[in-house]
Amino acid sequence: MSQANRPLSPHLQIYKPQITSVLSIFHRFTGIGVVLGLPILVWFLCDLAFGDLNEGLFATVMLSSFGKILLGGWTFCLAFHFCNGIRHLLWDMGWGFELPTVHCTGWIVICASFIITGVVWVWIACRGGLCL
Amino acid sequence: MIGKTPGRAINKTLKGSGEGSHAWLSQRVSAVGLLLLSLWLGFFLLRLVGKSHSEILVCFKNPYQITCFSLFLLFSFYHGWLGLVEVIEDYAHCPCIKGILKIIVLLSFLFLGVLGMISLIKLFMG
Repeated sequence: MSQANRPLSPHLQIYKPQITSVLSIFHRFTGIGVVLGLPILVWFLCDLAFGDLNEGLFATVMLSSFGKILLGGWTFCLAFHFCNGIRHLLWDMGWGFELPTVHCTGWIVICASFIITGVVWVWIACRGGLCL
Repeated sequence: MIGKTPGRAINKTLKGSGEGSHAWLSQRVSAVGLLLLSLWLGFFLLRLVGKSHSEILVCFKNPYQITCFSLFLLFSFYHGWLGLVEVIEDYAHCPCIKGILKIIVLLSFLFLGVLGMISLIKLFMG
């Protein structure tokens, strides 16, 4: 059989979404999300070290509603990847392979990510919101 | 059979290239480090909220905080690089595009990582 005619393995969208597969692909998405946020963190450091924080482009971008949505998304990505990462490390140690446990820890990860994101932003709001 | 197979081929077949397990282990070790470091980063950044510019600069004068921040940058860029290479390996099918993407990721991560480190040093010393 030639290279081009080989049967393809079924792609992701063929399967019915389940908490196991959805969380698995979300681990990747949020990982990419966290990585995309790292330049913002470096930009923050760079601006703080070499620029005037009050008049810089960084403050203008990050304090706009677009910037806040970005930071909110980054918070969620970090929270999810952190929680689900713990789940993955536990699997690597051989714990939690039973299906009910997998489902239970999955829901814990989902709830915890939303709770962490919520707590972080309520806390930020209580401290007077973001202002540079 | 084995006697007729060149030794290096046997090694390749039985032991693999030896690189896969290294990446796997590095990813887990950096993940464990990041569990602690990202918790630290979260609390560090949240404590900056509501502070004035000069108060924020004071927070970066602490050698332990700067060390933790540097470690976070180091670990997160390393972990992120390993992760992105895995994603590229999975989804980029053309070997040429695969190679180009990996080089772009490596170079941009090196640039950002070093830029972050230099900013931290400036904040600490300046």
